[in-house]
Amino acid sequence: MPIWNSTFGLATNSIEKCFSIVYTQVRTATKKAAGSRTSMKDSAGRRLGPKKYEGQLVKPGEILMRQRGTKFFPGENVGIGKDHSIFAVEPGFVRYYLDPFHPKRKFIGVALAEHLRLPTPHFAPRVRRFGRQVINNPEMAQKEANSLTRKQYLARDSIVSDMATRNTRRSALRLQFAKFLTETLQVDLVGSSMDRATEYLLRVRSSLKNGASLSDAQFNSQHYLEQEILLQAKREDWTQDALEHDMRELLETTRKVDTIISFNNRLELIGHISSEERATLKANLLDSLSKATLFSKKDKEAMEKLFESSSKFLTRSEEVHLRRKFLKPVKPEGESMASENEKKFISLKRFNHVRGGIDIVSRSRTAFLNKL
Amino acid sequence: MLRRTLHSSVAKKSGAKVWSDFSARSAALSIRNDRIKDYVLNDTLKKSPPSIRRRANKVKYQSPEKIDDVFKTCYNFMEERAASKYAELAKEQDPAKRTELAVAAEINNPEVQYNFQFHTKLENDPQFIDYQLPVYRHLGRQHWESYGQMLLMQRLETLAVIPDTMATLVPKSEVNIKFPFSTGLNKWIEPGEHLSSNVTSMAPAVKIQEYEDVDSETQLYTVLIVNPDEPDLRSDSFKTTLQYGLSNLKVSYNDNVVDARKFTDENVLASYLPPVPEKNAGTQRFAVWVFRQKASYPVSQTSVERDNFDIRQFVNDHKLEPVGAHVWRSEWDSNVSNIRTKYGLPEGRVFHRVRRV
Amino acid sequence: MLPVRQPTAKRTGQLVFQFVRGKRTKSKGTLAPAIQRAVTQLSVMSAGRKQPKMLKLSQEDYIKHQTIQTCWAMYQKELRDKRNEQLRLQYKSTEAAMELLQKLDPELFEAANASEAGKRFPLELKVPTEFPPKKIWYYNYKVKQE
Repeated sequence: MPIWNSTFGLATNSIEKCFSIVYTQVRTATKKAAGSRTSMKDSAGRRLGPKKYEGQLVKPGEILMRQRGTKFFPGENVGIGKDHSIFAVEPGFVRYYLDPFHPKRKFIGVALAEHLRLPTPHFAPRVRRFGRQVINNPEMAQKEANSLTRKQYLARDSIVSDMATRNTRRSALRLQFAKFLTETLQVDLVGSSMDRATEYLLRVRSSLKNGASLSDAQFNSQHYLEQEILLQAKREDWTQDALEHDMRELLETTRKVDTIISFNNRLELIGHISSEERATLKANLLDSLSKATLFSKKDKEAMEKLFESSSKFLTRSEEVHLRRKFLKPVKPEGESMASENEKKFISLKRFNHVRGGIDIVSRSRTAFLNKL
Repeated sequence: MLRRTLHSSVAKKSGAKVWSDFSARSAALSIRNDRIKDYVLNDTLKKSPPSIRRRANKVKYQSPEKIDDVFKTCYNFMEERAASKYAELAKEQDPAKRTELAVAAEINNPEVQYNFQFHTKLENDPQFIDYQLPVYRHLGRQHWESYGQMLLMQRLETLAVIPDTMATLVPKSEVNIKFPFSTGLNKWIEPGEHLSSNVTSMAPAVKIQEYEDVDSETQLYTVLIVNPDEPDLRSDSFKTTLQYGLSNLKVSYNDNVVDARKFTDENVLASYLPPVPEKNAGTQRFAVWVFRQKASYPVSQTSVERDNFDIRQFVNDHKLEPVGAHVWRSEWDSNVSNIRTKYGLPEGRVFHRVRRV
Repeated sequence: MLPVRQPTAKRTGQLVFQFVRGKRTKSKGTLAPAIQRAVTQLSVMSAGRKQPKMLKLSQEDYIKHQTIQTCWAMYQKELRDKRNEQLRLQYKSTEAAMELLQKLDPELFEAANASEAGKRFPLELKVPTEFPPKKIWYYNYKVKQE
């Protein structure tokens, strides 16, 4: 104790000179007034647990299990509610089972027949119940067949009117085709073969419009008409001869149409142009285009005349490409800058990306197609 | 410091120019457009890329600095590796390894990569993407596996086409369908799409794209379209109907759309029966299955029963190997009755809206 | 703007710090105002916006870029493979030598395999010299120009 005494003795002495510390402890009488905060809160049991047991027969909607959380998972033909209670959606026999694909889960399912075990083997087809009855009363059946959902009902009028306009446009086109065949090409197609020819042409046209190649379009249309004839023959029990006759007629008509008619790149009818002819016409056009110049209004008109019949032998993209190349709205800058002594010139302002400033460029009037 | 240069001993070496030699290689391995080829392979100083058309964009565009020098070094490096692969290929006999080497020799060729990445893969033009060449098949398969195959398997599983029709599928070839005859519409169908009865009123064209090594001269295919959702009132369940069956079909790597030009009546197992779902019978799935045949088998339309068709039994009997599938869905619409009269089918039943026990 | 800690030099050269309460201790005034503004603005911007703009390459340049990338990966792989192969061979020959040693002289083998835990630098590796240099390493060494 000597160290204790020495150090503390010193301290106490010095402090005692200033203060005198009085420390008294007071213990008042206390008593806890209430119990624990969480007691007194017990509720009645929630009656959880299985409501149907293995093998029991259930109807759709019957609750099989009440639980907190998914102690059991919904298996086959079974649903789960927002409080995780499991209910049947098909009539059948309750099965409690394990699924090897989810080894930590227990499942409740409903087997549709008594001999079936769950889970159904992984690679076997599912066992399904159709569950609907035929409406036997013809009136009721008709009523049901005619009933539409709200969405369908609202859409019906516009669909029908669209279909009608499409049909009128189609029949107008067919008339136009027939006129072209008889008047321009002087083809003697009569009665059903004319009908077939125009229908064939209509189908070819729509196929081409949808981006099919010419051979594909021709085949698709021909195949469609063949199938139509075959189905009609089957429906009306045609004899083999009648069928063969019709098929032959169809084949002849389509062959003939293919040899006398082509479509231009705007999908209008023109006289037939073979691929060799196309190539020579195209070469000729390119040749004359390369020779042509474009300095005056006359030149421009001549150039446009060259392009007049180009839709017959050029594809749409080729035509656009050539037009862009030879009938440029504004010529490139190397060709037609304004010379110093020129009086009428047009000055343009343009942003220079390299320099990062605005350039003023003066161009002669011949650089602009619409100012020739 | 990390040096990002090839060692000079590696960079300077340059072996045989295998990628510019087209005496034994297909023309589809080069870029067809001369301007693009010149831009990619040669120095491009003071030139703008041909793929940029507009003048303003051309002026704005700057290719990365020194990309040409680095590219040239890299091209030589890879070409040298390709040359060694070609040398190995000349000695190799095993067909599987030969394909592997043929792929390895060309896969890093920038021209091949250009052709594959910037041309249509589904309706391929053999000038650019020639699936007869192992490289393009390899790239095509990679492209398919990256999206199309996963989408197909997801749809087959979620729509329970597997296991309702076949047990499962190990997808090997890409199957696509379209209906060009009924409407003239030129659109490939996505697996699981809802189609109207008008669209499906005539048989589809099925495209079977093989990516594996098969002998297209001898390999035969069977195509079956089945509907596993036909109501069966007697058992209060469903039965499977055969809608369309074709067998002993031949397709090649590039010309592989199966339509009436590809087969005759002798190949038809069951003629096309369009989907005609009945009112309130629910959505019906139409599963297209494509099989490789072990051998040719005789076909007679009478021997196959459409109703209650057991596809698994059929596949077992004829030793077929499923390689691809597709699926679309149909539902009753107001046009169904027209289709029924067109095909001479009896008028459809009408079911109650509500399912009952 | 007064610096917070202002050192006052006395004649003796001693530094005396005068602390003022309430002043900010972190000086902010070292940067020019324009730069300071830029720094503040950058600090507000999200990291994604501070990324350099993604390169937009033309089709042709994209193919070139891919070729360069694959080439680099291939080159790295070759280097890696070479190194791994060399290591494998080294290990193999060391193993063979040790097996031979075990056969010839088990004592020496034991000594060679003795644990060297706690040893930092093997002194055996230092070459003994008769006249060790006073300066171990010339940090500022430069090649003589001729």
